[in-house]
Amino acid sequence: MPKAWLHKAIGLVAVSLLTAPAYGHSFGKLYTLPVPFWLYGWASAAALLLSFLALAALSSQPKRDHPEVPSQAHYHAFSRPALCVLWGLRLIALSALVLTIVSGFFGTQDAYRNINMTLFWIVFVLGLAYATVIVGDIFSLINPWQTLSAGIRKARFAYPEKWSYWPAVVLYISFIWLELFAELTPWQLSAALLAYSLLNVLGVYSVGASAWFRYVEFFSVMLRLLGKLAPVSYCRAEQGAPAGWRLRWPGAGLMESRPSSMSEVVFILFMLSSTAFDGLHNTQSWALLYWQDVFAWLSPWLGHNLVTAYSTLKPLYAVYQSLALVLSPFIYWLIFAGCLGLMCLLTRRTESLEGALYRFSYSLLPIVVVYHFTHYFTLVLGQGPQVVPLLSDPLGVGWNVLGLEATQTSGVLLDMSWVWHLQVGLILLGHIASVFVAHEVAKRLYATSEQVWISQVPLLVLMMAFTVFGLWILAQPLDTEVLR
Amino acid sequence: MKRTPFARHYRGLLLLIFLLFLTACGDETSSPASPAPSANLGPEYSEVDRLEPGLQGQIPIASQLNGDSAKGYRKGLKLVGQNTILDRGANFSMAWIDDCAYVTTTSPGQIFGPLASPYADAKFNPLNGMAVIDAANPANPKLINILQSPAMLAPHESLQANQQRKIIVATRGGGTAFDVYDARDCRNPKLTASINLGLGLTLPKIPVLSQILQGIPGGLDSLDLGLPFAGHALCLSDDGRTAYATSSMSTNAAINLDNINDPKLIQLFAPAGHDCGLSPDGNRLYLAQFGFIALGVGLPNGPAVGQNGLGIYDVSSLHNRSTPPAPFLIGAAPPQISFLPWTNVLIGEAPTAGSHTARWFRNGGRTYLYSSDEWPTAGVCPWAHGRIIDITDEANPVKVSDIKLEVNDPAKCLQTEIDVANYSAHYVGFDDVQNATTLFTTHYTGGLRVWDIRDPAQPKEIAYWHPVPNPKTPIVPLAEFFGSSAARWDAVPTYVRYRPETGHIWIASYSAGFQILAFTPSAGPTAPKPTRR
Repeated sequence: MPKAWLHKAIGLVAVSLLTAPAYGHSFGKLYTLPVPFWLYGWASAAALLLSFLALAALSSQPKRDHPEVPSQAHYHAFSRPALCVLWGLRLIALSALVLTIVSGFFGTQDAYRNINMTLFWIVFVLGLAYATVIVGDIFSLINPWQTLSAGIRKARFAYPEKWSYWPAVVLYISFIWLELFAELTPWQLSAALLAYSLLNVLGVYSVGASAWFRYVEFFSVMLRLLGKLAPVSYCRAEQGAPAGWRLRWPGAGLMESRPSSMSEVVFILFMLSSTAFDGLHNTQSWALLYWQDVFAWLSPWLGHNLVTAYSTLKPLYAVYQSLALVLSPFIYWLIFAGCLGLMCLLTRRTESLEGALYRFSYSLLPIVVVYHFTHYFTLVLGQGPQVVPLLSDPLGVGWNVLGLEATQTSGVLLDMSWVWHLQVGLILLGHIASVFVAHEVAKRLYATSEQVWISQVPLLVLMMAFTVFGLWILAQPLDTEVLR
Repeated sequence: MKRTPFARHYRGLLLLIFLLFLTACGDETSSPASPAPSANLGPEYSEVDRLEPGLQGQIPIASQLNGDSAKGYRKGLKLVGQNTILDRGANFSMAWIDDCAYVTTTSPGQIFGPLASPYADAKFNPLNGMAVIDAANPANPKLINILQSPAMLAPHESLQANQQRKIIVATRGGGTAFDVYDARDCRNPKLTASINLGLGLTLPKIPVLSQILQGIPGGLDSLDLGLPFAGHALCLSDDGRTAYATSSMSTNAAINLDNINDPKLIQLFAPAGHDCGLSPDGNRLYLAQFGFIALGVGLPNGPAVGQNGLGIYDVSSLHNRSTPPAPFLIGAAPPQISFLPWTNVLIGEAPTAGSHTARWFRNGGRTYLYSSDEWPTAGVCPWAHGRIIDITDEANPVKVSDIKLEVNDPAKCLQTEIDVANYSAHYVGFDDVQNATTLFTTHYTGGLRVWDIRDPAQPKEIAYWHPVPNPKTPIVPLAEFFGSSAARWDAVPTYVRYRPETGHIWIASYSAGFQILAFTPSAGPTAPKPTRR
């Protein structure tokens, strides 16, 4: 979540903590990887390979059955107190949405002192996503836009089935574009949220809540997918059946169902590629590709003088960035589909590539989670605690509604060595989980153990490549020769 | 075409939502990169002073937070012309030939690599390089080009130009690359050579591979590694034939520039200087030796051993080439004529401050050096200050005065420590090095200061200039502790050019870029007057 204001805020805190006489001439604390990056890369790939071999050796025989899709009967109905809590949470979620919008319009435009930036980007976009992996898709029960449109009972039009999840894909890409490039101010964030709220109400009025929140409202889609990793599953009250919950093994939700359309596969791949792009587009390699190679390629038309070419190159750079973001899920799709095509070829299975994509897409979700978490958890730790003083002065105008003592709340800043090694561990863990899930899916698809492990070789290679690539992006600020 | 029921019913609402999105995406801050000369000029172009609100040199935290400091502060100086260099920020060094100014950048990432922090990504700026500015029209200095070569991409403090031979040189900050430009046409400098000093290796541009190997931040296409030299600053003899590049950590490099197409390393030698200056005849090297040994404090970027202070060396044999090139790169140190030591803490500076600048001038028949220390980073008061040293008897240099702002007073630390600022001194300039009556000193947060030094023992400040910071520059990680806050204050880190014929003063500041200033009546009667009316 490279919000410039967040990086700056946390950077300032970090530097103030790090600045000390011993660093006087080196501007701040430097962290160099204890061993070269290539060692981390190879070690992680080897760990993944060992996990794969262990799975192949120890796993049980294939069980060619279909995933069991739990019905409403599998869920425990919420008790009355639990329903009261849910209503309370709905009220809180709706109030938080209103507060975010109002504070942006009427509060200070200083992003650090207006609660709306922290509430939306940190608490909602990041915090809720991570919480969902643990407590399940609670958002489906307390979604403020669902609450807002609860009075709308009847759909005016049938949702066009062929649209499937494409509207959610478009909205999700637009959202990430806004996040990465628009540098929204509190006022602009409020305007965007108000527009999105109106869109949701209009959408529910048109096609009904069920279709809208299933296919279009992209936060619902994203959090529902993340919730598949959680050990808790929820169902909404439908057709007379009460809302309920049930427990399951963590990650079991990934094998209970599969995507229903290619647009959902693309959505999942964008969850993966957008995080990778966020890291990649901040690297020098990415910038150099444009300012060196593309500029050299365009120099017959633009000349070699950077100053005169700059007025053309700069807006083109925005196009280059935006295009790469939009294309990223489709590039990932090609890579993923290529691996699955190879899998079909190796196992001589007649199943279509489309079918294989549906079967194995959910196995990418553990990687989605670890990519996301490793990229952004420092922001949550650094800026998250600020929400308490901000609640006391949400508009940033000097109030102290909660009567807090005038002490400064500082974020949690982990030692860089901890951050990096936690990132390495989590990335590796996520990929091992993905290998495991894909293996379990393959066991339901193939008849023999040989077919199972042969089928998984292309995916293993892909996971190894994703692991190294993910670590490389995370290491970019670190893995540079430091001359002191 | 028949409208769908959906669009027919809701086109008004959809339009409203679309407009809201457009509002959200709108850019409130877009404006031209540089003010056109015909545009309404800001108050900084007027002769009206805007005095510092706190101590001498201070940008108090209150003024930073309430927006007051964003308007700049000034006394006795006004802006004549400016070029913000495409708002690239990180401007740090300036050199000049004829009507042209050359400005290069630096940042923590350029010198030390992208900072190892998840909180501050070091971002590549495609506008790094030597900005060539045509200042023939002082009211409208024009950016002509940005030249990128291995050293110019990240030269830190090593950019120097020579008027006599019309050449520009620089080493790569933290690297070994050394570039020479022929600037006989000052508007179109041509790279004549790019070499490595010592055992360096600069990889040529290799598509894809050079991106994978991009080891040095800010480097466009090169991996530049070397031992035992790592560029930092540089001084160039007045005849333009010999350069001394310092590395501040290991050695200095003496470079023969007789043939600018084929510069030769004469030798590397210790002790390392942080920065340096030369006598006009090129026979004396004044080395700012940056050391902590007297305090037993750790050495973040200083020489392994050494006392902080000023060394005077006889480099005549290097200058007249009687010293042959060292066969194994490293040669003996030139004979030391004298060394004037000082201990940071004992002179009211933090332990991490160290000797930084050493520039020669004459006044009243005597010879002096302006010397300043540099640093530490923000948050560690007291910051470094400057001094004037009488070197008429070069074997017995004597300090005659301190160039100290109120913010450099250790007793004021309680007032200054809370400012997000760096009150260290940095570089220097003179109205006339052969008979200097006015001294210009540059400081990070302290801006440009102007001193009457007709009596070098009793310098008196007559003017100062805190540029109006340029908030449109990219965020440079940690810059607030280094060069600029972008929005709240701006540092003036460069050497200063004074043009006697026009009375104009040339500087570059970290975010606001190249500026031409002139004295106003408020500077008082002792301010130098233009010789050409």
